[in-house]
Amino acid sequence: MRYLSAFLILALVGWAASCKKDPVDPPVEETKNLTLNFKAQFDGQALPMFTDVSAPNGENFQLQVFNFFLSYIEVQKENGDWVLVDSSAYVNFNSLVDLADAEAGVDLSYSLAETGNFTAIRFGLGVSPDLNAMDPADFSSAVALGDAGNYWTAWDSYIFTRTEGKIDSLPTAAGGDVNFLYHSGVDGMYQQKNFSKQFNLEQATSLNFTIDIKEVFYKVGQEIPIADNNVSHSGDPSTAEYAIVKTVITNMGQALELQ
Amino acid sequence: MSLGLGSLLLLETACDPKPDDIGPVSPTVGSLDSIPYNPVAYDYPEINGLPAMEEPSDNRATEAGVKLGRYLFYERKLSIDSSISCASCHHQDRAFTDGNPVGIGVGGAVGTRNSMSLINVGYNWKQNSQHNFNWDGKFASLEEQVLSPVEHPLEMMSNWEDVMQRLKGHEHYPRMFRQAFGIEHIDEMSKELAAKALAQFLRTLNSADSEYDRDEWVPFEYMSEAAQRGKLLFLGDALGSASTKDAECAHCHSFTRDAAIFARNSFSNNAIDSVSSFIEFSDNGLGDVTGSVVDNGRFREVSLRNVGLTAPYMHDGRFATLEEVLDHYTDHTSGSRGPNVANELSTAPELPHLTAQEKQDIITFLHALTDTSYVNKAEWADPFLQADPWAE
Ligand code: HEC
Ligand code: HEC
Repeated sequence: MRYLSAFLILALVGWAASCKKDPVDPPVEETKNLTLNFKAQFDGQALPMFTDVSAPNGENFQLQVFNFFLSYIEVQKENGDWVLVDSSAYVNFNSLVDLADAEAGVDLSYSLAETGNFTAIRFGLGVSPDLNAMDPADFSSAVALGDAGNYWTAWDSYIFTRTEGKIDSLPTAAGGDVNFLYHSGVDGMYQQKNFSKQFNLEQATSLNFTIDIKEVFYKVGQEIPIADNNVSHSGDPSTAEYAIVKTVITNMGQALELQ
Repeated sequence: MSLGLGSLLLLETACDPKPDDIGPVSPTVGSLDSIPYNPVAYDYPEINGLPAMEEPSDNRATEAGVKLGRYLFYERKLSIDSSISCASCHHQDRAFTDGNPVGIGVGGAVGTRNSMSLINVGYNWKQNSQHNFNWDGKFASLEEQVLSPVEHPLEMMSNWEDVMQRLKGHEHYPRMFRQAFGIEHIDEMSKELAAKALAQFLRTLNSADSEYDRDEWVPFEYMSEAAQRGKLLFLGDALGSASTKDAECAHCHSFTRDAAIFARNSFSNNAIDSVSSFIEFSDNGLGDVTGSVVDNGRFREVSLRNVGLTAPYMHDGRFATLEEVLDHYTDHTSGSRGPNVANELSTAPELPHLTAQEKQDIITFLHALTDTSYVNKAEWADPFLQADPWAE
């Protein structure tokens, strides 16, 4: 009987509500007016994953895993105000195995209510300290920050960037491939980037970024000694492990260009 | 959607009032609207170490939906000859696995993959990923996954049309579908609603009450020293302690204090097959799903919770014991095992040099992830073993 009356109450509530006719519109796809496109290149050419390219020192180089976080993407209006586009984004090249896909790159698309003229864009490469203080459990699975696989519990930090792959036998080495893995994390590695650029969001606009991997691993004077030290996931700032990935993420920040 | 649809139906009823008498279902007419539809949202218990459960917006769990899902999970009528149910391959007391290398279907049909644990299965869902379920990521959602065993030629060998005919003609299921989804007529019973109910039930199978969890959350309860040492090795680089060796397990079987799933749930080749090209794997795994050869040999980095209960191991059940698993990781994970061996393994400097004691410590830690608190849990057990299964 109690069951029945609960049902009646629900039905009554339903009845009262139902007589205000609710139009059921199909959800409208918001049109995206700002696209940030990222392309991985090697010496100016698109770089697909799992594809050998020839490095300046003569060895073959192959990238297999490449992804990174961006934090606080903001664009600057003519009056100097900064407008937040996204507090966190994840750029993942792992599935770009074919040349055509690598040439197309990765898109982050946004619909920004603010329109008009803009003069700059800025973001951090990596996970900003405030976000890095959070735990994947604090986020929805719809975002990369919600993925425990992007978190490195040993360091209480998100993995800011992943670069993995292999080089082939060096002329001087005993032979065989050397696989490498560099994961950057921990707060001291965050890289702030700022790019001047005139653009207008009255119509859809794409800002095209490239990151030249040759400049990440073979930058003159800041080379990554893959054959000697092929693995690091950050670590304590006093260690060589830390220094090597700090160089990787610093080089990445410097190699990132807005066309 | 189901709840939305349910309340919409409710609203229609309300604007077009029907007599209040609640008679029995008339199978001849098939109308169900005399049965009360009184949805109560299912209240997920909060569990330390597990995040809030996410549900698709069109399938919010209700008490009646979860109950229907549980009945369907144990319902043999889902197989062609009514011989097996989902639970035949997913036993509650083995963390919902079956102890066989590969699943055994109707008439003893031998499958190709190892039955997967269903504990905390709802957490394997990443909203924007197309590849969340099964060893190869074939299914994006639980709602899609649960449709497959019924028609699988080596599992239940039936088809949903026949199954739904049986359920529509059943004395009790029409009522339960009505109570779960607010349908007004037997004809609205569909495989999609059956799948929603099964998915709702599966999303309730959450538990985190192992030695590891108690060490983490209960004051003054600790894992054994061997398990503590194993945890440090598993996690690696722990707390900057340079003396600790790193077995690198947590790259892929990742966990945080509040999201302690012990799975990255991405896909990698953990080198269990030795191949010299992308096209030699005995099972291509993710590659057959994405069509990309570099994905061949990649399988899901599954949760290691309850591995003490879920032998044998890997997608084809090839390793009988955790000792064999550890021997594999220390002895056979170099880059020469194949072109896409995961770099976390091929570059691991110390993994090949773990001592017998260190391997044993990791195994002890894996056993500390065993949770037996649910093996006799009544809400998850076979309802047909109850004295009066159909009591309301
Ligand atoms: C014949 C044995 C068998 C039966 C019967 C069976 N399963 Fe499974 N189940 C498996 C196997 C084997 C896998 C792994 C399949 C694969 O990867 O190809 C699996 C995987 C799953 C998964 C994926 C878990 C994850 O983490 O990805 C779910 C969910 C599941 N089964 C639910 C069910 C449900 C619900 C039913 C009944 C409708 C059912 N199973 C019936 C053997 C079975
Ligand atoms: C590169 C990622 C990666 C790393 C690192 C890794 N695993 Fe795995 N693990 C996997 C994948 C992928 C599977 C499933 C492979 C398959 O079935 O083909 C798996 C499966 C397992 C299984 C079997 C699970 C089951 O239900 O059958 C166990 C146990 C396991 N791993 C333990 C470990 C241990 C211990 C370590 C550290 C020594 C480790 N793993 C390191 C990726 C990884």
